[in-house]
Amino acid sequence: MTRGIRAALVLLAALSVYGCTDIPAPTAGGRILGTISYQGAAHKTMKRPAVRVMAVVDFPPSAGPLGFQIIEPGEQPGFPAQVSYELMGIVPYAYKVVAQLVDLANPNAAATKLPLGGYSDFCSLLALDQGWVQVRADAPVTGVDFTLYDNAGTEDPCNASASVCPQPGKATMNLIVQSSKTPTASDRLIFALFSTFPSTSPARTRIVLGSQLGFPQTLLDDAIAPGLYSAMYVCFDVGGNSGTGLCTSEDAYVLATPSLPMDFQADKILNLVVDLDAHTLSTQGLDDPSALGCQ
Amino acid sequence: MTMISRNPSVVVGAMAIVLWVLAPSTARGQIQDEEELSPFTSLEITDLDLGDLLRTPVVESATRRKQSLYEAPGAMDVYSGEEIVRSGLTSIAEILRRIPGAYVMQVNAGRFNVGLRGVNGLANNRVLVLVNGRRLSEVDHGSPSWQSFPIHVGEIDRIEVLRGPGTTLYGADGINGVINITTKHPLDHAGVEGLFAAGNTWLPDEPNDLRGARVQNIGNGYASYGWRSASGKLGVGTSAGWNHTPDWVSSEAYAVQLHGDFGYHLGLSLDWRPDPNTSLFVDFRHVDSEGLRGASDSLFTQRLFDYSTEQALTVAYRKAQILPNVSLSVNADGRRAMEATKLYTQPSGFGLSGASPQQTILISEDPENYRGHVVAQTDAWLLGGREVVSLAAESSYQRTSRLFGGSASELYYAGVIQNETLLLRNPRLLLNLGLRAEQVNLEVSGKGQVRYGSYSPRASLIARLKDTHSVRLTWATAYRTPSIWEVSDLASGVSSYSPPVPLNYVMVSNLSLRPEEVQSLELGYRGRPLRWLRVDAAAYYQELKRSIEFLQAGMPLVYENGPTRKQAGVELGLMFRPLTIMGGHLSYSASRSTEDGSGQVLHDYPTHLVQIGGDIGKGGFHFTADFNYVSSTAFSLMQADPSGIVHNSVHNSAQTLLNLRLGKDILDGAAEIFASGTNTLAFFRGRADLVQFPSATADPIGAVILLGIRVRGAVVGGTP
Repeated sequence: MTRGIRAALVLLAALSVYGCTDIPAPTAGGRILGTISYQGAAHKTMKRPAVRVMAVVDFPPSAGPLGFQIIEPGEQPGFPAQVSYELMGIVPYAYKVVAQLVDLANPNAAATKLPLGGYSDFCSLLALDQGWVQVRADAPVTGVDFTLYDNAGTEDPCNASASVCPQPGKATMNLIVQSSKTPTASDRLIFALFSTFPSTSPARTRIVLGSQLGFPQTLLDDAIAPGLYSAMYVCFDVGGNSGTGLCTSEDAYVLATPSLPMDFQADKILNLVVDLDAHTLSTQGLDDPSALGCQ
Repeated sequence: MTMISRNPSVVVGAMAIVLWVLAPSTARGQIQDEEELSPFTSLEITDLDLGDLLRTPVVESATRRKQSLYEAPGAMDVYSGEEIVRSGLTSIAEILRRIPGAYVMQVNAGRFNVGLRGVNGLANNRVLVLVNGRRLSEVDHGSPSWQSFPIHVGEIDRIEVLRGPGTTLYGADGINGVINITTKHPLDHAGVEGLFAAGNTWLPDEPNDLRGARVQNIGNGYASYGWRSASGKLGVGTSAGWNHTPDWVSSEAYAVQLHGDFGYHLGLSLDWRPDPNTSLFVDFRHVDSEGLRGASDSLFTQRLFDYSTEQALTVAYRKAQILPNVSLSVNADGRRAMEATKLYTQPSGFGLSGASPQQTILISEDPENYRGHVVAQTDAWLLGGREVVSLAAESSYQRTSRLFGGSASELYYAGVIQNETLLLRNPRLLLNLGLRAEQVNLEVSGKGQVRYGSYSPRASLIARLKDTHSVRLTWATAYRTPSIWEVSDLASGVSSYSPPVPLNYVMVSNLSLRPEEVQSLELGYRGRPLRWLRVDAAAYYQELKRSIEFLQAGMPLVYENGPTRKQAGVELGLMFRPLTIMGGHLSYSASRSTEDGSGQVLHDYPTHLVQIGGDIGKGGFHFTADFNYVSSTAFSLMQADPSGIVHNSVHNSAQTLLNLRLGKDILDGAAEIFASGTNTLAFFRGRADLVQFPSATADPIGAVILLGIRVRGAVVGGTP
């Protein structure tokens, strides 16, 4: 075979396709990046600790997350004190970002005992009007940092009892919960306030650990957005095994949907009483903060 | 971005081709007395008894033309149909454990991933599996669905395995090897053949509520009938078969009647050879299968069913001597495959909300896949047969629709040129050069399109020292373009939320993936140092660049290009038959993979793989034993589900498999009754909880015991 024939054959093969590539550049968006901090010691008792970061569209989540990442100690030397995360492939939408310290070797561990946190803090995570992360298609969302706290996040300082004086432009709820029960350290008190009901997304939520609980229990929230609220849910969670969701027959709870919505007015204090034994909610009227010494 | 590939391997390959083009014609003068190499005169496959593997088999998969195994430009294995049936193994994937260096990873009862040369993974698509030279459907992540394979082991005429890069000839997906399964042709297997085996799966140490139970195993089998005309030029065949692989998951309320994997298939074939140089083979197959995968943990219980159907039509035409010393082969095939997956979930409370409402979700996936594929190749024996030039053109179109409202398509076309030159006559020294140029266009609806161009060169120098010894040095570069599944979205199907909340995506597209690339250098020896011993040994070094994998444990899953892996290994295959009535085989491989840059040793492929077996036959009795050992592996296996559960970092302890078979001829050898047994493993399964992919073990947990009968070629009608 002559060189010419060979060259022709090679050329024929080479030209039978044209070998170039056209690969789109990676998309920058659809990502949430941030840092998660944890100063506790729960991971020391875990066989295979990991931080699970999730993007959810409601909280408490009524279904699975739309994105999550598992981070194990081998991947980051600072685990779990300082953990960087990146949620990828997230469809543009508004999300709550929540993280949990879990034991992959013990999937049966009670979720309410595990450290938890959310952006930007536990209270924002629980609030309907706060803590949303808007994911974009054209650029990543960065700086979504937050901290994990023990006991499912309830030890976040933001969850501590607030002042009776409302924050500027907000209302204060002064709720007294009565019950004949005697709380133990493992019990909890779960509170949720709904602007619309039925709904799985409360506007405000608070959880009080059993160690800080004693009836009658006063619950203060000084950052309630003014407006009408149609339902309140208060549960004495015996054994602390009901998560942030619905309680069961072993617990004592009230789901009150008063005929007249609760009217939280700006710069006012609304007094409420819940009786867990009688399953009642009563409104005790409004107070003026200045009468209670508020500035 | 548009660019011309500037990969060094492409440059080297191009240089090899240029050298070949410029090589002086006088070089061929050194082989002027060489014997005619044309296959028309001496190397017809039908002249050889492939049942006796100690003879020199003729193989076809290395160059897509018939040639001696000793002169194939790569490491190859051949397994005859008789050897496969005698093994007693009823799963094709398990038979492949005999390949030196093959890691047959059992993902579930009937699900396997076959890896070669240090690479494996859940979506294993780096070993290309062909049936009669044609690709299988690629609905299942590009890897074959072994549990719904359209062929029973008894219908196999032979299996040829090309270890190492096979992309030069076969394109993407063959970067670590090619497995070509050839079915029996009715002209060569007239009459009735069949096999039926059934028994029990015994689970004495089964960890869940089937503890101590015997699981009904309706086994496997096939029956075929081949009719051959009186002239011996026309044959028509039909076959039907089924296979059942019991699973270990309790059936409960969602059970399918035959839990585990169950499938049946039908085959029709036409075989026409009007003259010794012309053949037409038409093969139609239908396969229908269902499978159950179970998973559970405290937060989530699920039952996942797969149903799939596939119809495949293959037409292969070959005409030798269309011109003096020029042959033509044309192959075409079309396939339609449907895969429906139903996922029943029953969350018992999401992780963060212990009292979220109980609910049952039905998730359904129903992708439908069409594929058409045409290959034409001409081979020319020039200069008295001292030079063989092969030119091939190939095109394929695949479309996957109903992919959660979207669709994806792949179009590729390629040109292949091969040249084999006899440089020296004594010893025979062959230079085999090949180059494939391929263009792949992928389009995903709503996401865009991507175009990959690649060149896959191969150069092999083969020295046949004597008739029964050969040494080869092979260098090759292979590419694997991302598959439809790696660039497509995969949603959970049914969202728990109403619009505008986005769907729960299990996987999101990444059109920015770059093709994988393997560069390989191999030194091999094949020979018969003793009359009763055949040796196949190879040492290789390769680099896998830009391996496509899930780098991040999470959901949605996103394929990314990973760091380069450097891999080295040795493979040894021995086949011995010191006595006519007794023989055996041994396969061993050792490999080591490290991550470039960090130098970290990777343990996602077994360091040691051993397969040893033997057979003995006397007085109508046949006894076969196979023992397989796989050293421990630890790798990151991502499997996410919409509820937020992800399974990763799986560790498999060392595995051992023992398969025994005893057969006895009856009816003057026209049939054989047999009993076989093999232990079952709990791959990726913990004893405490049978979830699909826990961080697990691979301990034996039971045995499959089958009794059966095999009918050999009894002629009923037709002409023997």
